[in-house]
Amino acid sequence: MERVYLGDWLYNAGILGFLNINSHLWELNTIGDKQELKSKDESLLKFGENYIEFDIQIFDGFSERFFNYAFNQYGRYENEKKNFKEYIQDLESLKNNKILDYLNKKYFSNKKENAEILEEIPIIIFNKFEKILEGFKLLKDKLGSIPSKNEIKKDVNLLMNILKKAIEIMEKDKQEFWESDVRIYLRNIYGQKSFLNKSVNTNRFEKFYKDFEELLKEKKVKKDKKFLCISCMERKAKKDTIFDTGISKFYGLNPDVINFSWNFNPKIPLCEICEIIYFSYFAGLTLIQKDGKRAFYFVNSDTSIIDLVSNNRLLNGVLKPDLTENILLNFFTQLVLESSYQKAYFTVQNISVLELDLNNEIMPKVYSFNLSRKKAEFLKESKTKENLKQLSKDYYKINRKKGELKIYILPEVISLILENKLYFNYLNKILRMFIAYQNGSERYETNISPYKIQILNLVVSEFIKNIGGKTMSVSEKEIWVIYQEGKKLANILSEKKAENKIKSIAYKLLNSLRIGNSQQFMDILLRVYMAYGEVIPSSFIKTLQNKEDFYSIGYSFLNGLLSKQNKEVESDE
Amino acid sequence: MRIKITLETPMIPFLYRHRILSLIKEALKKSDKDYKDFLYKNKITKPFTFNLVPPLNKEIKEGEIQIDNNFTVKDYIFYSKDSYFNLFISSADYRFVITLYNGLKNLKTFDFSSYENMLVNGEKVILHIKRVNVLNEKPIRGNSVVFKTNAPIIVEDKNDNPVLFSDKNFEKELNEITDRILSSPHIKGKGLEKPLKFEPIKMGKQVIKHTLKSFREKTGKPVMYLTGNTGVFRLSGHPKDLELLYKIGIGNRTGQGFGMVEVLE
Repeated sequence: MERVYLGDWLYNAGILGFLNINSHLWELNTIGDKQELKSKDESLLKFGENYIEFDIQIFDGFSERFFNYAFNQYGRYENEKKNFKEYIQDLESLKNNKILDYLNKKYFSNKKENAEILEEIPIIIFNKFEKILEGFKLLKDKLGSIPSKNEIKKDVNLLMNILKKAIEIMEKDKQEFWESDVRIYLRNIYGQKSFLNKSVNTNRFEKFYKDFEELLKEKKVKKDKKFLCISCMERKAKKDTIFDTGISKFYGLNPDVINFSWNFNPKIPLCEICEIIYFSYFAGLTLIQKDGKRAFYFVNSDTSIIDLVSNNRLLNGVLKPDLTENILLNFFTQLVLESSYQKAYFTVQNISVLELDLNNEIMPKVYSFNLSRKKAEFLKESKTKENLKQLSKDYYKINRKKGELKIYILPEVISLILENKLYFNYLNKILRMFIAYQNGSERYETNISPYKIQILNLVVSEFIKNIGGKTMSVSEKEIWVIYQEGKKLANILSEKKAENKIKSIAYKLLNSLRIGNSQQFMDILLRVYMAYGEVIPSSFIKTLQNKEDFYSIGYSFLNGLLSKQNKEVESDE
Repeated sequence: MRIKITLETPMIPFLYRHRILSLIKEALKKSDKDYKDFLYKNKITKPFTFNLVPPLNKEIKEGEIQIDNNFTVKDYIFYSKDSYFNLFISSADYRFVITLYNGLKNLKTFDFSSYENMLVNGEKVILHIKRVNVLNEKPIRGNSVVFKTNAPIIVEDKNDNPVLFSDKNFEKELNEITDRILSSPHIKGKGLEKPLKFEPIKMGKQVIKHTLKSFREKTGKPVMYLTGNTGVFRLSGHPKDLELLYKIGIGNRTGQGFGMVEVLE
C-alpha cells in the first residue's frame, strides 16, 4: 500500500482530485451532525486521519477515469451539443410560426415585431454558431465548408442542416472529441506535460496510459539511484523527473525558470506517486463561471482528509447549485452572496480558500481569500446577510444607448467589502444614477429604489463601524427614524404642491454629502424646514458631531426624501 | 447661520435685550431642556448673538417702563405702524438654531411683559412669532474683512471697564477676549489662529442702556450703562476665525445681543 499524507495546498488539491477521479471507491456519509468517509473496497483504498492509503491496483482504469473527469469538468462537448439542439428547435418554431412570443422574449427582450423576429433570428443563430466554431477547431475542420450568411438568409434549412450535421459528427466521433477536449482543457492548466505536448497529435489517451497508468500499475517506473522524493521524503524519486512533469506550471520551479535552479538543472527528485497526485489537482478544484470567465476554487482544509473532502463538497454545493431546484436562486448575484458567506465561514475557522485564475496563459494567479476574522464574521452575520440579500436583484446600467454595461450591485458591494473599499461614496454614486434616471437621463438606468439604497446605507454604516474602525454613535433605529423624516418632508412638499422641489433639494443635499460638507447640508435642510414652517427633527443635531454619523444620517434622510419619487411599494419594509 | 424672526407687536421698548434673551431661553427650554441648561447653568460663552431691528416706519416716543416691582424708568419706545419687528439671530451652532427654531414653533407667542415686569405705560407687550427665515451669509475667504456693526461691540477689560476703539489697548483687549472665547470647547476648542488686527474706518461710541435681574439685585440700580463701539471697521486675521466671529459676534456680552456684525466687503 502507498501512503499519501496531506501537504501543501496544491498537493492537498491533488489528493482531493485523486479521490474525485476514483470516486467509485468511496462515499461521504452524514451521520447525525458528523461526516464520515467510507471506503467501498479497503483492499484498494483506505482513509487515515491525515493520509490516504491505496494499493497500486487502484491505477487500473485510471487513465479513462482521469480523462472522463477532465472531459466532464470542461463540459464543452455536452454544452455545445445542447446549444445546437436548442438552435434547431428555435429555427423549427420559427418555420411553423409557433411560439414567436417566446422567441421574442428569449432573443430580443420582447422588443421586436413578428416580421423582424422571422428575419433576424436565423442570422443571430448563425453568428453564434460561427463564434462557437472559431474556438472549436476540430468540429470546424470536420464540418468543412459552411453556408454563407446570404445563403442562410435565403434558406433557413441550410442552417438547420449544418447544425444537424455538427451534432451528427460530434456523436459519431465522440472518442476523438473526448481526447481533444481533455487535451485543450488540461493544457491550459498544466502546460505541455506528457500527452499535452504539442508534438503529440494522435493517440493522446494511449500516451497518457503508457506514461502513467501502465508504468504505475505494473511498477515499471525507473527509479533514481540517489535521491528520495522531495515531496514525500519516503519513496525513491522517479528517474529524470523534471518539475514540469509533476507540478503545475505556476507552482514553483519549472523549465521556464531554470535560472532559479542550481547549475540550471530543473530536474528535481519526485516520486511517481507524488507526481500523479500533483497531476490530479485539477479534479480537486471547483470550477465556476465568474464574470464570463472560468475561476477555480479550492478550500485548503489541511487538518484532516475528511475536512478536506467535506469542506470542498460544501463549497462545491454552494458554487454549483442546481438552479432549477432552488427557487431562491433566481439570480446569479444570490450565488455570489452565498459563496461569500461560505468563504467567510471557512475563514472564521482559519481555513484558506483559494481562487485560481487559470485563464492567464503566462502565469495563472492564485488569490487567497485573506479575509480578516472580523470581516469574515461581518459577512457571516445574519443581519448583513439579510440586508445584502435584499439587493440581489438591483443593478445599474451605464451608457445604455451604446454599450449597455449592466452592473449588479450586490457583487460590486461584496467585492468592495473584500477590498475594504466600501464607503459612503458608493451610495453617492448609486443615488446620483438614481436621480439621473428619474430625470430621464439616457446615460443611466437603474432599478434600485431609495428604500434599497437605504438598506445599502445600513450595510455601509455597519461595515465601517465594524471593520473600518470608525466610531459612530448613530443607531440603526435612528437611521430609520431619519429615513421616515425624509419621507415626511417629501409628503409635506407634495401636499403643499411643491413636489417639483424635491429633486432639486435632493440634488443639493447629495452634493453636500459628496463633499462631506455638513454645514452646507444643514443649511439646505433648515431653509426647507423653515420655509414650510415645519419642526426640524432633532436627530439632525448628531450629524454635526462626527463625519460618519453625518453621512449615515444624511443619506438616510435623502433616501426617505426620494422614496416618494419611486413607485415601488415598500412592502418589505 | 443667520435667521430672521418676524415678531408681531405694536411696540418694543429700547430696553429689550434682557427680554429677548428670555424669549430665546424659553424657546430653547421648550424643545430641548438639557441643551438650555447646558448653555445657561454653566457660565459659558453663548454660541450666538442677536439684534432687534425696528422697521423703517418706526416712531420713537418716550414712555414709562416698569422694569419690575422695584423700578420704573422713563425711556424710549419703538412703535411700529404695521406692528412688526425683525429679530436677527446669528449662530455658529446648528444645534442652537434647530433647538431655537423648534422651540419658537412651539411657543407661537411670548409675553415680553408679565404682571409687574416690563410693562410699557402700564400695558403688556406680547410678541407673536410670525415667521422664521434663513438668511444668506457672506462667505469669508480672505485674511481681512470690512464689518459693519449691527449691534454695538462691547469690549471690557479685566475690571469690567469699557475699552473704546480709540483706546490704545483696544486691539490687545479684543485679542485676549476673542482668544478666550474661541478656546471654549463648544465654540472652537482652540484659540486664535493668528492675532486679530483692528482698523477703524468709520467708528463711533455709543452708550446703551441695558438691564439684567442680577445687576439690579446686586447694585440696586434699574439700568446699567454700557459703552459700545459702532460703525465700520476692518478686521484682519485667519479666515476661519473671522468667519466664526461673523457668526457668533465680536467682543463681550454677545449672548446678550451685542457685537453682531455684517460683512460689507
